[in-house]
Amino acid sequence: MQEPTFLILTALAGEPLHGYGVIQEVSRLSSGRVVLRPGTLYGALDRLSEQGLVAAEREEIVDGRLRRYYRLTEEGAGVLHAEAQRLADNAAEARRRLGTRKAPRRATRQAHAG
Amino acid sequence: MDGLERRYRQLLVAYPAGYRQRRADEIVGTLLDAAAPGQRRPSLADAADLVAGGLRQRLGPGAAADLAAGRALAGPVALALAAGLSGFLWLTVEGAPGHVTLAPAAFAAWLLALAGWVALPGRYARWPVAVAMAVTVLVLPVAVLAGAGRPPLWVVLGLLAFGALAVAGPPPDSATARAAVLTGALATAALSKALLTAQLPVTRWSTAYYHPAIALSGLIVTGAVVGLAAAAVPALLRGRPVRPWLWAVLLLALPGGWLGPRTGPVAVAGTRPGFGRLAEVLLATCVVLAAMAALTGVRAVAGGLDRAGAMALGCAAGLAGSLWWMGQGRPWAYAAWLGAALAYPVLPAIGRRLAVAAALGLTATVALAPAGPPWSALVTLALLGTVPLLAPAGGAWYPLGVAVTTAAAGAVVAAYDNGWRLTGWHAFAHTGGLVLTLAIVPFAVAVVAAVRAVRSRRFAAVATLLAGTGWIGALTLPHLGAWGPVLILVPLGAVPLAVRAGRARAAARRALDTGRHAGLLALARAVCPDPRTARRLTVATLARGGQRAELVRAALDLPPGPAGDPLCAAVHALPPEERVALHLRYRAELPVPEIAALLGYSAATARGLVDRARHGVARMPRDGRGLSSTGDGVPARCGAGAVVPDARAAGQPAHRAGPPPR
Repeated sequence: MQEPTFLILTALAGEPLHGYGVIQEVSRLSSGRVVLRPGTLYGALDRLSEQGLVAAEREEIVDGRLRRYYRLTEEGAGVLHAEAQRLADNAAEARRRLGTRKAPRRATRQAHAG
Repeated sequence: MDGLERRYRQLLVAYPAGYRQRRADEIVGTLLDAAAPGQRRPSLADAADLVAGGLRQRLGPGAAADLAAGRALAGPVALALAAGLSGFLWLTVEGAPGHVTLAPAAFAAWLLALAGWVALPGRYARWPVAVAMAVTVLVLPVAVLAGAGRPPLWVVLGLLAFGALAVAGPPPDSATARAAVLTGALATAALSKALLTAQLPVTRWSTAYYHPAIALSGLIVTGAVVGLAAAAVPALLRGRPVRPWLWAVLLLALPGGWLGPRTGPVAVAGTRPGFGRLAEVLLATCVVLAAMAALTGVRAVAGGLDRAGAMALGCAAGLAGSLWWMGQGRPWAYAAWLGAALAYPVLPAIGRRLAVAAALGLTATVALAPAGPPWSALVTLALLGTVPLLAPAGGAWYPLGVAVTTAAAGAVVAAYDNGWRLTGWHAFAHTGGLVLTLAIVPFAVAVVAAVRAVRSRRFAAVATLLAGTGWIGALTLPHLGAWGPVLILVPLGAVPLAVRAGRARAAARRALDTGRHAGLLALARAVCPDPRTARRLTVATLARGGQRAELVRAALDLPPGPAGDPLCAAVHALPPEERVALHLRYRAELPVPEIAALLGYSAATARGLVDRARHGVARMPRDGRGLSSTGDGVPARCGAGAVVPDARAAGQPAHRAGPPPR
């Protein structure tokens, strides 16, 4: 799963959001690194709807603008859960291996100091 | 509607009409939400993103992904070709004594672009390419203002197309990728030079661009195209995806086709439209675009032939206007074509046929009279006219738009043929013949539309096919020897692919006969009532690598039912997955769990799809029929994909038929 897709699903995990809400939430989740533009966002939402991972929920009209809210489906939640687990496992494994590195690095530093 | 919203809506034209109808309000709402306070214009990045999104939507998700992968393959090759050919042309043509143009400025910019690609960090690597494109464009007006010579138009356009491919591709991500582009550029330049020396052993210089430098460049680009195609073979043998390679081949073949023909311009004799650079460029472009259309596998929407008819009429009117303006022969034969295009929006189909027939009759009368316009012009107009005569139901304003575009293109071609002078033009036969060459485009469009409509509208399709291939063949086949290599290789390359597709279809048919893929066939039968169509859809889906989503999409491209029926239109405007869910629920009368099993969704998702589709239809503007009635007879009225959209039929209360109260 690519990062923007993961972030969109994560953004929708809490509560249903409309398009601009997803854009803001994805930007916040990635600390401003991933800026979704509407053409890309709706392409992704179409694909995810077709896969049954998200679904349109309700519509509101605010200031004459149509806002359609999207929610994560049960399948979407399952897929997101699996992906989050995979990433967490990867991260845990990376931390574990970095942990085993500590000793030699200290030895190097001591060697330099000496 | 303020200025910003109007501009956003103009940009959304990039999306297909049906998609726009159901999603435009929502997307514009999000764009306006995201706009900065006081913003007047869409940002360039948003505009590019919308256009790319529209293109993806038009291509369909699979083809869009293949195209993106192909672009990534073609980008570095395009840059290597642009830089290598720039070096070759600079050294070999511009260095010739007595041949001085402003082209070296552009060539130097391309060599700098190559240096930037090799040396700069990845995120900046594409900027010098954009600068080189800008310099190449600027050379044209500067050359005119300074009274200096300029590089030929097709060299400029070819370089720009290569640059666009390089910019659209990914930046280099490794030292190997950078070295490969550099090596490719050096190899291109060295090979061109070696081939030229072999061809012209006496002189170190080429005396002109046209012969043989451009033809050689075309040959080198073709070599790269063939190389990419050959690289697809290992992918094919290992069962990996081939389509990205084919996209890369076609993307490079497009500018490659502009660098023919193999020999210098063919002298235009008599009054026939001639085969020269313009014909080569138009034909190669049409051939490559047709191959791309075949690769996307976009199935014909029913109106394709009618649209081609409207386009042919528009082109006939535009050409008639151009020829009239150039002043040759009796104007009323031309006026009839202009009149037919002008009357097209207000006439019903039968009236359109009569108007076109009248124009044909006048053209024939003029042809019989002595000292009329040249035969080539009249035959071209008449053959163009046969297409709208056979398929008159195109969009109302389409012919006028095409006529204006054709007339403008005709004016540009006429000026180009006369060295951009305003007076002292060539004889009519020369310029007029060149302008008539523009008819290649509508004929090619008509041929593609006819091939796709050959099942549904046999007579009209075959007649259009004969008219189109006849005209194009008469223009180009006598000059087969002069065709550029791309023009020959692309159709030749299509043959084994067509054979492979045919064998895949045969294998799919055999598999179906032995009873495999029963699930897919059941879905096809549920989506479209006609068993033969269902079988054809299943075979086509299996041959293309068989996925349910593709079958559903294809089934929903079938004609929606009687035009102008608001209920059918409302159903047809639904998103594909909702339309198919609605169809399965109310037309095939399947229970929700079965629909879920057929589509591969959970029961909850399938139920949600059906609900949303029902409310979607209930919300659409219509004349009150259908929803308030029990919906009897609706399935008979609407074709595949249409259903009974009665909320009560679902046995559930219509809990959300519009925007909820706030």
